[in-house]
Amino acid sequence: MEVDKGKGEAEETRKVAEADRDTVTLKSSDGKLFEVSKEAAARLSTVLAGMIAGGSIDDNGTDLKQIGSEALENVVDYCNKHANSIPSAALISSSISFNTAPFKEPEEWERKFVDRLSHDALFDLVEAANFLGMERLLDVTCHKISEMMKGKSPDQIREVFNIKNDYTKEELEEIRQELAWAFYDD
Amino acid sequence: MPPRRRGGTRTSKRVARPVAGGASLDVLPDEVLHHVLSFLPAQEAVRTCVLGRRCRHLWKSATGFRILCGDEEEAESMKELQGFVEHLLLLRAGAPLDSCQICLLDIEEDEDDMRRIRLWIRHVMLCKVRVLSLSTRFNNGGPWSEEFYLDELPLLSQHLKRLELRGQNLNDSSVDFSGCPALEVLEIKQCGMLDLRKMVSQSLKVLSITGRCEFTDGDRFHVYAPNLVSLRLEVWYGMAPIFSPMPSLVEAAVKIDYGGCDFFYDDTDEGFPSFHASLFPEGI
Repeated sequence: MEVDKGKGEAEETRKVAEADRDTVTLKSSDGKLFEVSKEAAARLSTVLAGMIAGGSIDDNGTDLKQIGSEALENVVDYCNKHANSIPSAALISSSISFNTAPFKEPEEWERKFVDRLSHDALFDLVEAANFLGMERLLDVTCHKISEMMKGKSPDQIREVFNIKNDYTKEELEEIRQELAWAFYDD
Repeated sequence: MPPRRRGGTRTSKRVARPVAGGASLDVLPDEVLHHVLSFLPAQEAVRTCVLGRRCRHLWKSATGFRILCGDEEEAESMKELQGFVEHLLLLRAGAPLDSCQICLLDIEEDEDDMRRIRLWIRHVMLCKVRVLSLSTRFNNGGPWSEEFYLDELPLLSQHLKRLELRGQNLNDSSVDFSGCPALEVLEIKQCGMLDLRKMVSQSLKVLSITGRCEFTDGDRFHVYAPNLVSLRLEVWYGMAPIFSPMPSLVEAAVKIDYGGCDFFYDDTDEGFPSFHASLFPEGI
């Protein structure tokens, strides 16, 4: 990006100010701006952590062209809620999910957070979490999707997730034979 | 060969999203679907192969699996589970694993089954698993099995980051984590720790020993975890362990139950000052 020569000094000042700020501004694909705690963003997203460390955060809104405003709002909301919900000791290591429920299970507030989302919003959020390298949010959203599949028949899953069965009958039969060990077929 | 449907364009990986409602699983990239499957019981994850062509082989690359056995699960006994797990492990051909949960409830103390469980654990370690959870409950009426040890050899893994153990009998080998330099979180619940002399981990940051763990009432065992940040310890029976210095420790919660040898009555509900001093002889 070309910087106006006269603005050089101002640009420097701005950069220093940016480094001192404790929030970062993110810009969605449709141009909306969101503020998020720099600490939470760096801790929860490997991509944002890299951008913050590499100085590629833009004061006027860092472009996240792959993420729409609704998903980005949810991402920011999640970061802020997460920052408020964990004990201070956990902050020491970004990767530790401290005192969390066993085995990657979402905590109560995380469940509520994803339960209120529509399918579309959930899928957008899962993609945003994947794009931003947000391990915990990816766990929480993927867990939610898995719960929507759990205990359902193939037809029910196809219906819920709008999946076309593009197998032929013969192919399906072949698969069931090949994987009889997983279907407990006699 | 059966005639194939003309579905070339329809099965392309990215399809236009429907305007409202009916979000299709098709919009999600494979890597996300691999992660979704990791949260399902392994049988259900494998069976997603029938949903559509794109799903056929997804299960082989799922980032994790959950092997469950018990009254409320599809497999009610190890015998029912065994064939499935063998197929699963062999056919996914060692694809890397992020997480693995093995939860086996009300199983018999059968030598072959116990050997099998150890082999499964060895196998998932070779798949570079990062989060491993092993819960066992044997049909012996007790919280843990005297017969079942994790293994005679210490776990070796460059990748293991979090380990959860429940319902096993632990020995010095099973808690020697010198060979697991990435291990940060260890949660132990309802385990027998009567034979332990020491627990070793340079990398451990969070240690939690809760539930009905039984400690030895002979010599206290030593915990060498110099980089611990957080400790939670509940002693239900026996003598609490001794901790080597932990200069990075930020918080510790210690609870001694009635069965604990270090338990003594106090007018207040909390606070065992002299007890704390004996646990951390060299200071924190």
